[in-house]
Amino acid sequence: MTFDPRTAAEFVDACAAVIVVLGVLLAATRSIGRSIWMVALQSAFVGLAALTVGLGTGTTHLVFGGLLAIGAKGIVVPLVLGSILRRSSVRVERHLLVGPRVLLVAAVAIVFASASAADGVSSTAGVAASRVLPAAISQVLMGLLIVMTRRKALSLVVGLLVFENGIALTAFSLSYGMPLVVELGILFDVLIAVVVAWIYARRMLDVFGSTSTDELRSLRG
Amino acid sequence: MPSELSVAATGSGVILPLVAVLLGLAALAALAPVSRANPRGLSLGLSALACLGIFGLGVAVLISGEPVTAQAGSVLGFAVVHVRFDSLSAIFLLALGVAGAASSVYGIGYTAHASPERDRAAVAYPLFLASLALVFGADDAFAFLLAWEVMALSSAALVVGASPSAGVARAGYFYLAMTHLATVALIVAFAILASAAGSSDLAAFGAAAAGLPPLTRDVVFVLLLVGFGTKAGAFPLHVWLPRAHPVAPSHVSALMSGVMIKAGVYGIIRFGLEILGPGAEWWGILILAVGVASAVLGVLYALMEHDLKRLLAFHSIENIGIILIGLGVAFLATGVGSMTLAAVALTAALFHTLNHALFKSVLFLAAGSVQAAAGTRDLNVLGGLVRLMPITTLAFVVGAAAISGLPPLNGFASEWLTFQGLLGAGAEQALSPVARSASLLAIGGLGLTAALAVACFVKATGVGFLALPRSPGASAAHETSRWMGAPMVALAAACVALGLAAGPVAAGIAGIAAGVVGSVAAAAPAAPAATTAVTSVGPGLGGAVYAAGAIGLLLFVVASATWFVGIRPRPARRVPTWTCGIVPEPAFEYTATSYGKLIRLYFGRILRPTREITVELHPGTPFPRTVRYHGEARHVVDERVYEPLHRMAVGAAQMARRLQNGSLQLYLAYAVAALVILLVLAR
Amino acid sequence: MMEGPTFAETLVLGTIQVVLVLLVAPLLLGITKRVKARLQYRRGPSVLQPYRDLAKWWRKEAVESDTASSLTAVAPAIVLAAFVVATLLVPIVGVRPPLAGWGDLLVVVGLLALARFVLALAALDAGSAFGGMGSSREVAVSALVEPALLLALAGAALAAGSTDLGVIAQTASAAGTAWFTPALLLGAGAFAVVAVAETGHEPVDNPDTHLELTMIHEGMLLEASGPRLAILLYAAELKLVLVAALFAAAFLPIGMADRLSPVSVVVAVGAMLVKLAAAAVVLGVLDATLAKLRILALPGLLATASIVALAGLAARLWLPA
Repeated sequence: MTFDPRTAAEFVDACAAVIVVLGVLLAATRSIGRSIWMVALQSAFVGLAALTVGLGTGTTHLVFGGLLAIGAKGIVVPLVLGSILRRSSVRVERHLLVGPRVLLVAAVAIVFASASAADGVSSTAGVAASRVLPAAISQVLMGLLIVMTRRKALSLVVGLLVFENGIALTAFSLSYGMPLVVELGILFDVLIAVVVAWIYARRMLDVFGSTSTDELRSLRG
Repeated sequence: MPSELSVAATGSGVILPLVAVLLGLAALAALAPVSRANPRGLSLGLSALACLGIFGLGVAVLISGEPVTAQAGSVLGFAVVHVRFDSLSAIFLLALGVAGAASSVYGIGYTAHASPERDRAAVAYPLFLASLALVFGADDAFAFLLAWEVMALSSAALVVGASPSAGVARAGYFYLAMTHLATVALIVAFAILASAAGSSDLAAFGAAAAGLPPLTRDVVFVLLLVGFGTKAGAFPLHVWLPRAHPVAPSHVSALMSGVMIKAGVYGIIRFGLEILGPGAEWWGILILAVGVASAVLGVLYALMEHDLKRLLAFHSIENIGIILIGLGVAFLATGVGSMTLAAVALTAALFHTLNHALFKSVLFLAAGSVQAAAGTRDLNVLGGLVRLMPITTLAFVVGAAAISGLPPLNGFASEWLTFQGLLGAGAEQALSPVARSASLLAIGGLGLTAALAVACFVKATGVGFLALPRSPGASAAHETSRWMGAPMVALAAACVALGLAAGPVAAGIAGIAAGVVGSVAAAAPAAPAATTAVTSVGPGLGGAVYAAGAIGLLLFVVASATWFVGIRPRPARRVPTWTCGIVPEPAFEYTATSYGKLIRLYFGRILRPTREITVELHPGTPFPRTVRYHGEARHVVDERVYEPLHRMAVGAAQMARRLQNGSLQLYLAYAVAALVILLVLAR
Repeated sequence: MMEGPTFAETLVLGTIQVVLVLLVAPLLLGITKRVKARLQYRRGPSVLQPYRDLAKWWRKEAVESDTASSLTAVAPAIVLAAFVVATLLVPIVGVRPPLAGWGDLLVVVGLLALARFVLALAALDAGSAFGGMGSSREVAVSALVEPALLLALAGAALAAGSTDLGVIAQTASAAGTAWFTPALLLGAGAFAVVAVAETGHEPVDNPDTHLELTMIHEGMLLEASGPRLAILLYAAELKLVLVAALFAAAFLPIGMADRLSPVSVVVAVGAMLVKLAAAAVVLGVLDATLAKLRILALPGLLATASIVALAGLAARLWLPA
């Protein structure tokens, strides 16, 4: 099954735009539940883009990678995170390290900075879609922003997922994605991270009664 | 000393000497009072006539298109009076003439009540007027600085009066200190330019400035901005304004706010734009940033004030900010050679200068009347003046509407032009994205300023003039004398007229702006100057226009029709205000402080308000007897910058004091040491 | 230059616009209230009820406070005049406004400020606490709205190369789908929030509240009665049309007539009615589903709108085409 490359490129561009918008919303939102399903949606779109590119160019490992992304990061991981969320009493990141308005400005600034940074880079082997690389760079930075400004463990995992989305997107915008082994390896890393986070969250709930990483500061030598 | 007096121009040959004679007579009249009832009346009357002469001079220069020059006296080869009034000076002369005449006539009525001690400084008033006129026309750096100094000293004398209280004296000292710091910056800048030009003539400055290395030009620009910005009252050099303006007599405050701070604007245009020529992009962005900061912070602090004159002083800072925004765009545009845009922006700045002189004078004169009649200028205890002082209230309402930038009055026309300048800069491809972004951000800032100005003047007008009086002083107020009322009404009418006739007026000012920009263009690639339609203000972005007169007429027609159909035939029955069944009293009304509460909360991080509430209970019970509230906005620049600087200066002075311990031998030792060092160096 | 309607055509189209707008304004309020009622499982008043309300208030006696000055009498006339003139400057039916060449979007914003000034001032005339409350809140909220409003409209103006609303509408109609760039959509989003704030609907203000402590706009109308109240209520209804028309002209200019032919007039009138009705329905849905934000939370909402508008402007400058 092959697609017309131009419509495929436009579709991938559109996916990239949706990914960026979701990333900005993720940066500025306080609610953890909302951020979990938004990152699920974002991962699904990354997978969808990979799927389209794979089907369009006939690269089978991209097709598998895309389906895996949609399945694992789009469905399984959010379900696991959701169950942790249900068990903890806190649903909202009440005390962000900076205000939501400042985060919104920072997120928008990241998008523009990535756009101007990606201007100079021309991909030779990658997809013809021109919007993907700036979107990818912006999501890498967005993930870092989320991790830097949140306190709750679940939010940190969400940030990590956004970061990973950005890496994956970068990979197949610069070349036809990473080899399947590497993709699987990264995915496994993420799954392990999620499982570890799950275990930690339960332990923290048992010991501290909350999943705020501020509590970890008391673990000093 | 050879002294020559030569006047060369058609038609204005008589005016300049006439003005000089009138001002001289006014000074004499101030020193030797003629009538017992109103000792300064003659002096002020002569000053008013002189101001009319200055207005006439400005008109003559504009009509004839020829500059008027004069030279008188010389000291050590430096000219004492060396003026050249061209069309740029003429606009400022128009502002001086109108505001000066109105303030002088007002002063005749005002000083009739005033205490005789304060009046002894009245000889400074004609000197002040003369120095202002000389500043706007000076053609020689030395003459300019001389006039500048006289302006500073005479205005300080007028602010302080002959025997001031401690607070007033401190305000005067503060003002003098800041204005002299500004003058130092100017002297250094002029020295650099003069050494490059080889003479102190401004014409030579222009030629020399083009040849200066870029770093020197940058330094001169910053010095000029500091010097003229302090006089104009731009943030963060504005701190003297809210101290000096409220304590001065009202006609002096009107003149200071309406005309003197424009001397700073004049300096930036003449020296920064015309003489220094097209500069780096960061010049324009810096002026734009200073303008936006002055505008927003000026109006925010004004909203926190309940002293009517301090409120108006902060508004002057805001309006200077708006003028600087226009100037910033003009600088950006000349820097890249976009002369049409530069002309539009400069027109906006000049038009707003003229407008501000008019409506700020109205407001200060009205505030003075209120203070004279009600005995206080605290808004929280005023009120009800609309019935007791109807003419003053009407003048204040018109002035308030004009300063808030409401169509169809004059303030809106100049703000419209400023917005068009900013949009033009945002669309200008020749500018860098940074400069364009700055202009677009400034649109948001200017919009915020305009909306906050509406809030502030609704507060000032509504709380101060409407509903019931809040104190016995306010209830005892009555309309002031005709001398004080007539100038207010005349200025208010001028605001309306200038608003409706904004099209032709803007076209005229655009011609002057095009001339200034064209002379800058002589040093840079030329481009066609702006053309404007005569009946409407414009053109702005993409040919948009604002037909001021037509809109004003239509508003009047529709409003009158509504009134005649719906309101006049159905007169209302007057009943006491419903206050939930309690007898209405002034305590139910919102005060200025409570009106500003929500804005105080919204902008709390900028204003940093403090609040102190003390409750005194009935003894032995939990019921309150008195509740005292004290709140104020902390002025961050004052606290973080000027107070520490002040302490450092005093500390340094204390340390320097130790050098003078009174011992004669030590002083001789200093002299010997200096001599030895000089001998060593001279080898 | 693009060819637009001639002067005579503009005159006719403009007259059609004026007549329709003045007639239809109260109907929009009726639609909003009906939609809100239906969503709340009520039947709701008839959509023609605002007309009956206006007639009722017109017949009643005018009563004013004994501390009021002549400002209370003159204010409704000035407010109505400001909104009427502003509506004449916005193109709704024809692609050029009825008063083409008299003013641009800055003049419209200025006229809104004039109305706000006069109304806020008149609210203080009666010397009651309610008027002061409504007045101080209205001016404070408007101060937050103004930057977002101007920045959003500036985006449309820069896209069309002019602040004249007729030129914006013409450029947009000519550009077709290419008009809807991401930058413009961001500006439209910001303007939508501004529109809700300006017309005083949820989540910024509750138009149906009778509790003084929750009022913003209504607080300024408390002292008005009789024909004066009718005029002020009608002016508020006209403001809704104005804001919706401004949004349509700047961000969604479809279906406007650029010449005087029966087909284009019918299409334009139909498009106008659809757009205005859609605005009314959306406001009704918002009224029924959203709760009023705490007044101290409004800076957050309106700052977000300003940031979105700024992002739109920045997109125009910094993002490659």
